[in-house]
Amino acid sequence: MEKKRLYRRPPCPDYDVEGTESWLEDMAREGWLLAQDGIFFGVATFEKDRPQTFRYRLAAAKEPTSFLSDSMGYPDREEREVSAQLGWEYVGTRGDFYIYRSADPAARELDTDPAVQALAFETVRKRQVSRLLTSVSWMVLYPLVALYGMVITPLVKMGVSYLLFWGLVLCSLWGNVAEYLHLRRLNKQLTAGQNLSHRADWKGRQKYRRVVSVLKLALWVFTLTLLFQAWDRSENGAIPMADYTGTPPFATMADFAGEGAVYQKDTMPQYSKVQEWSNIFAPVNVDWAQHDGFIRPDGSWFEGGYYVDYHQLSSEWMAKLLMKEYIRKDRRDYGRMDHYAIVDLPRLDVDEATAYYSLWPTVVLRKGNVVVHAFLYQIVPEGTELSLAEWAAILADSIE
Amino acid sequence: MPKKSLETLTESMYYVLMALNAGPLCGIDVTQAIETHTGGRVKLGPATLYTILGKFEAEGYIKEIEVEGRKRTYAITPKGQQAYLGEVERLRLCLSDAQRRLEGVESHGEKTAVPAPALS
Repeated sequence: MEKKRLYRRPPCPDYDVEGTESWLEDMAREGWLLAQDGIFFGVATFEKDRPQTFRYRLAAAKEPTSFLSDSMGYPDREEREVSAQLGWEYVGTRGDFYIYRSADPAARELDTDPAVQALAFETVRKRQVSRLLTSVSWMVLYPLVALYGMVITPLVKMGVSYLLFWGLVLCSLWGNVAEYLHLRRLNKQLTAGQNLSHRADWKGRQKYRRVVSVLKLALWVFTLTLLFQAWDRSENGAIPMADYTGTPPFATMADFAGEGAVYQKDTMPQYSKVQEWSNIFAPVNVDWAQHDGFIRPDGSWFEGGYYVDYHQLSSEWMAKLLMKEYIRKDRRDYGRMDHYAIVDLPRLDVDEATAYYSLWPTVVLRKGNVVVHAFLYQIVPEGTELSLAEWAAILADSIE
Repeated sequence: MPKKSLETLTESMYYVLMALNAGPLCGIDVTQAIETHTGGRVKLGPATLYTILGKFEAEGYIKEIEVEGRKRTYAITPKGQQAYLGEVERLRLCLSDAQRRLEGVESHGEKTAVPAPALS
């Protein structure tokens, strides 16, 4: 007859050796024995038996315990056999520890020398530090490098969801740090010659762990939903310029035409789009792509594309950083091109102004907490182009 | 940390080297030899035994000389022998220091606050 089974999430993290041992012993006293290889993907499987006293002990694994490792997560076969001969049955692996149990009260302890056990823990701790460094590289350094150190730009584009995401990433890393600190404490205890306690209070920790797990899960779902919404807005949130009824808080191509010009809208309607969004870090944002043309009173014609990223941020220091990020990004993307060059601008009515030829003539302006990044390309008869200084001045004057 | 810890051998480590100094042994034989040598006073737990064997192997104190099925046989290396003999010498000095102290107490009639335990 198949034994009745019970599935439980361990009440303490895998590095909590004392908590795990005590919990398994308490379960055995209630008649629930950990099934063979009974911990899988963080869920423990128990089989119903008569209530009995078992000693459960966790032995630090000398080698990595992942499925992909040479040992496939199992202790050495000779070690298992010798342990069995000395009264200890291997039942499973949890984290960096092998779980053994013994029903024989006369069987010697699994670890009989605290100083040697400390050495075994040290191996686990070294592995854990290496995992922590890998996690930091992948979860923090790699994204920062991939984003070229841009911090404010994604914050402006994604809003709170971006901050929440990083908060959760750091929380995950905190788990590694907590493990490191816990193992260090155990190591110190063992090095001092003190044995571990096999009767730790795991029940108190269980409630806390449950609440934290539920909160974490809820926060991840919430954050990922927000991130998806932010991504969806940035990908699909733009509307055709023809449908736009608002008034942008900066000069448009119509302002470049001047009085008396005959204006022609949407020369490339498929590319003329506008997107507005708002978040706590940047209350007003406009992503503007305008393709228009006009004929001046002197008969010269002008056709071009005018792209503006407008951001009104919640503070001036953020605006300063965002401006630097725009300049850095353009230098990174176009700095190696032959025609990339910094352009001197006349004095403009803004706090900071930078201009350069990247792919197109570009200006980045900051006035208070407003940052405007704009470029204009022109298809005009030779000698009639609007100079960068001219249109930058019109744009600068328009920023409030 | 591990290297530092091996500078001084713990009792378990010392007895593992002592057992292997007598000749190559496999894991279970090491524990049995230690029990025999110490009259059952020192009993090595399996986790302790295999941690020590792993560390000693990494340190070059012992080497695996034979694998037969699941059973692996280890032999002490010259480096391990040196460590063992060094530890024996250290313990001998400790013992002679203690002996001198005890003899001094007897000849001068000194009294110690705590009586020294009998050395077996």
